[in-house]
Amino acid sequence: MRVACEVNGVAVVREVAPGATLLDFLRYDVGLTGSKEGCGKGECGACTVEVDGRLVTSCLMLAAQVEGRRVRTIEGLGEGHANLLHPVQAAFLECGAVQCGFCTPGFVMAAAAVVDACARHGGRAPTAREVEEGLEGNLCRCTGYQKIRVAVARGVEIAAAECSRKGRDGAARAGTPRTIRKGDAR
Amino acid sequence: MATDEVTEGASWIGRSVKRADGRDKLTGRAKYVDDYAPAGCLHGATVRSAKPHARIKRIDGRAACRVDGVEAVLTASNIPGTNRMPLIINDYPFLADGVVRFVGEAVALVVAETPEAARRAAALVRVDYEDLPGVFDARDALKPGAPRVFGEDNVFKKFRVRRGDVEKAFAEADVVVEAEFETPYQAQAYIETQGMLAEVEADGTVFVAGSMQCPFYVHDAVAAALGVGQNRVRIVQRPTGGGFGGKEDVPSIVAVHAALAAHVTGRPVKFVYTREEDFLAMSKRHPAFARVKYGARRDGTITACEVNYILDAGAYATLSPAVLFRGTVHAVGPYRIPNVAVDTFAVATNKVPPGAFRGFGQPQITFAQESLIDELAARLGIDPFELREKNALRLGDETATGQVLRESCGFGEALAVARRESGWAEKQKRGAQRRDAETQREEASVIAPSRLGVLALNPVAGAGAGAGADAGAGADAGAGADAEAGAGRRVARGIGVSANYYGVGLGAAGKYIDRAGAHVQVQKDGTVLVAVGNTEIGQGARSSLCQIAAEALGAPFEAVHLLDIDTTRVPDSGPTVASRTTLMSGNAILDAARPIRETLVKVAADVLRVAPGAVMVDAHGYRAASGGEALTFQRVASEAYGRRLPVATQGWTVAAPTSFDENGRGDAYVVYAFSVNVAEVEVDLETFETRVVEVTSVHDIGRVVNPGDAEGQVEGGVVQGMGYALCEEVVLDGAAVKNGNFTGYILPTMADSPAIRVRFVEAPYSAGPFGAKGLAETPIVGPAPAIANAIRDAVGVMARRLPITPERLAEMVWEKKREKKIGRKTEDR
Amino acid sequence: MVARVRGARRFVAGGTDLVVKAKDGKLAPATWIDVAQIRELRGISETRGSVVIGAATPYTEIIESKVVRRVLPALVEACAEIGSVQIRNMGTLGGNLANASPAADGVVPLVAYDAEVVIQRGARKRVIPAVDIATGPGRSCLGQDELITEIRLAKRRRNIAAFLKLGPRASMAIAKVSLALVADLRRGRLSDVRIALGAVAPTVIRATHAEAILEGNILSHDVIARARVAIAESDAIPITDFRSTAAYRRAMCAVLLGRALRVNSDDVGRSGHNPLR
Repeated sequence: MRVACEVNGVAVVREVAPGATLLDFLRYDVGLTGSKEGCGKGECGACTVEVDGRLVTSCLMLAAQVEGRRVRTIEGLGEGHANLLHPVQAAFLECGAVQCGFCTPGFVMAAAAVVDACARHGGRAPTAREVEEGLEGNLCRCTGYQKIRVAVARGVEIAAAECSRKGRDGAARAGTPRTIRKGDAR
Repeated sequence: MATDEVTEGASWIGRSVKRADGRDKLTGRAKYVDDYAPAGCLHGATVRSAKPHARIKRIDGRAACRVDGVEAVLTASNIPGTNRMPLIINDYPFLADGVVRFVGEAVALVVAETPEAARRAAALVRVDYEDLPGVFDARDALKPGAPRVFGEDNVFKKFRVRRGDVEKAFAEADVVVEAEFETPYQAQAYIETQGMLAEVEADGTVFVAGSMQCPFYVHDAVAAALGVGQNRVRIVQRPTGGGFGGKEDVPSIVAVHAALAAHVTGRPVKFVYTREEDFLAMSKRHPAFARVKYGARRDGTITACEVNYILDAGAYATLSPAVLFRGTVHAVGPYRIPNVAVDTFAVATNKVPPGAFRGFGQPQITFAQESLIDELAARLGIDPFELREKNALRLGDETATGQVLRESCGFGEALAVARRESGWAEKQKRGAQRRDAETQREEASVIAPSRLGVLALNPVAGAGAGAGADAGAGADAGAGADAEAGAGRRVARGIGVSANYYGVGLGAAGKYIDRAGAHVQVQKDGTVLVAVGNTEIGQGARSSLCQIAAEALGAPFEAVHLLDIDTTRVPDSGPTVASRTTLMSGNAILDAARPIRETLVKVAADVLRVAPGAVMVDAHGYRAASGGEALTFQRVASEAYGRRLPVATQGWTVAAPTSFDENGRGDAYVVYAFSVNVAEVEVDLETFETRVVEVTSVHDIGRVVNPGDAEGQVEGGVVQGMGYALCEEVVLDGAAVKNGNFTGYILPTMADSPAIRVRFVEAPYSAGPFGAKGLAETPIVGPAPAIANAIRDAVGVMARRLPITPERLAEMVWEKKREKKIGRKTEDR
Repeated sequence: MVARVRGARRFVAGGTDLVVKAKDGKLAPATWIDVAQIRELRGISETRGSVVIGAATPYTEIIESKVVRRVLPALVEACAEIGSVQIRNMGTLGGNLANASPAADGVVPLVAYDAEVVIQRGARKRVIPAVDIATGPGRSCLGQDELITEIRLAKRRRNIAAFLKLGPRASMAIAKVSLALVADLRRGRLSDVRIALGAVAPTVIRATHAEAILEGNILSHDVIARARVAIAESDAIPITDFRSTAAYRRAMCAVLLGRALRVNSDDVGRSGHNPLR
């Protein structure tokens, strides 16, 4: 069957098998191999991407379900940011939050959603609970999560600095406006 | 040694440089094995045994061959070379050879145009079996008449250690404690599953690339299985999504499957496992049973230790003899004990073969022995920290194997740092006061007999009355709650300590392969290429080794590039295991860099018009000792090329001698790392859920090359150790894995992870690069017993089995309360 | 549209359970019909007496809904406990009901709130209580081509509402035991008590014995104690599996009930009606 959607701002049309997942579509049909499969069951989060601004585990979504929708992957996250790194990517690098790197793309997508949500709230620091909730769907076996926690907080600082720098320079806003909202319940 | 001179403030050693592979991994550009898709690539699937022990009568692949897109169905008969994984005992067939010995064993391979077709076809391969009797418990397998899995007695390997006279020592001891402990299969749970891609190149060379820790093991295996020269096999490690030991031995099997299929079909073939397949068939931490006994004098001097330790090694030997060796050497704990008797066994059963997992036979026995040390402390009425300090191995002491610690023993300091930094004294005092209050309260409270069946036996459910406002009613359910933890939850806090040591490198069990090579090549523009044989698997080897190379050469860190690991670049450098990479590859780099540096010093002297002895080298470059501008490394390199001098060399290093005789005497390892962990937990007194609040993890690893990466290693190890303590267990339904995915196998999430305080003690090792020892494994060894001891502190029961799930803890506490009640009733009469 | 699809057909919304089952080879081949983007199945509306949740509304939208937060707090608590951010952005109550897991976090509060589930096949509609959708583990009363379209929940004045769950870890957890309780507490007396339990029976169940003990009674220690015994011994019929044991599950039903009453009576206490203070 034919699937037409937008991936990282680019229109994409591909023939896919009816049962193909969004993850397989991205990796093998579109050729974006940054999103990883760690479990195939939505438990590890390594395949996390955004569909219409919301995080999903792409291993559980069918390719057919993104027909006409906007998809963003790790490959498109840095677009429009300094050094082509989203603030949270810069923070992960700075804080040593990467080890084997296989969970990293999924973590970065989820962490970016937290950082962007904070940025929309005037750059306030996220609470520990907010960080945990935002990243609860991502498993990491190397880091023990400590440096990832730190990196998310640091990402918010970098985002705030980037924002004020852009405001000062009158430069265009980075990337497309984000529409992710994070459930603030509980 | 000239390279050991480190100029103040101008060294690459001890700096938290950023990972060179960080950016690629963060942007999705890093290419792992499944990210490669060469033209014409076929995909493999593996047909696996559904039987724990059976003779294969017939394999029928006809239906599978008829599936659209299927290229080949392969069995053991297609293997041109040796169908045995070359390792310690060469017993593990790449494809089952007449008999299957565990559920999940590879029986046949299917290769097809798509992974889906391969999997569909694999399900259609019919295997007819004739069942054989199986054995599923290592203790049963040792009994006479047990079904035979290996050799005459199902014993892959046994060791013994004898020191002094234990019988006499126990007879003379004031206090003797003894208990049995049991630990489960633990899965490495690397997030990237196993995967390999093989192709036969135009010149006939078999090229295999994939996810692995030990390219030279894979090299041996592929050459043996295909029956070709090792010079016609090339193995390259791709970025590897975690290993933790799980990518030490078994990747050889995956690689041989891919190479065999590529060899038969003449096309590239990729095998990437599903998570379920990985759980079913790949290696894990050995389940273990241990009986430990300590004897001590009233003053706390430990006089004797006896250990009986059994590893359930599954259907094939894999690395079990080496795993057992490590467990044996460290079995009595890091203490000065004059009388020791240790007997250990690796036993065959019809279950998935465990292999290497971070800690390598130590976490099991350390959990047992460190839990029992707390029991001993309780019996002696001595603070658990004090008991450990009193008996701790110090410089000049002998280990259980009679090895004298001649240098690099920072254990005493690590204990002191852990005690101070964890706030042990205040927290212990708080606990003691609480326990006194608890005893009084329990004595005062009247326990009403209950008429309510099951609930009467489960005080949690039966009493307490939920409202929690009535202290009288609540006392039995959770006397001694430290705090109300929100939502009316009653919790008890506890604190626990554990200590361990860790022999760095392969030790006497692996001494013949404990060597490593390196190639260092300075380019004309002053950039540097370094090739080694040990892999980056997330632990940060790339950074540390580049730092060592930069330091040795006086080159900028940024100028050094570590090549992907490729078996054609350096000779067999042994495995990337046992915390040996910094030590072994680091020393090989130093060996290679030494002549280059001498050359560069001479060149610099020439340019600077000083004697070579008057040239100083640091991170800023080469300068005259008398002062003046430094020559950049780039300039010196360029000058060397201008003078046609060689600035590329091959380095080599071998480990210092080790030994271990039939009575367990000898210098088992070249040097030891020392660790102390303090855990603080909160146990919910109604649900018996344990939350680890904080862990203080202190390690003597010699000189720390990269503190940031080292901290990351410790933090990861602590959380893996916490998982081992509280929730991780591969459950087998007799023979088959029952919870083989991330839904059923419970890994800690961020919300479960505690605050972790990491501290390093640096007792330099003279034979290590810049004084470094090794770090990777020791962080996982101590946390589980520290957590178990903290739980004991909180609720007063000693766990004898991991993981300490709420269900098991509840049973233990309920049991204790039942006993108490019975005791009280008897007294009432 | 459904009629145009030949052969076996299956509806899919978030896919968080169905895709897993398909990968495990647990589903017969069928043509999947994606209902996730059908406008009529999405969104939350409010009438004077009820709240209507479209069956394909992702959990995240339910959590964020002001009206659900105000009227159905236990449902919000439960939805927030499901999976992860990613799963909550995909998964739906319709899917949770149809999947018929005894541990379904989303279903437990629906049962406690007496939710009614609207099922449609072509133009034909029927309305089934949430508690009756599942007929066994993984088995539902849904017939061929029947689609859950919406969930209706009555707005009733009840000042106690709780959802509590025990899982094997702090997040991303399948329940070992879960409990939802809604009731009205006035002058120390409970009325309109509904208790639902997850993961302690072949389907999500009502704890009728415990309800009967609490209903119309003053919330005293004795009443609570009796209700705890009843829920553990008479209502729960758990099994031992690799996730937990029957004994623990039973005991925890009592703990969670006690906790649900305690938390809420504390809340009520602030407004001066707590008889326990």
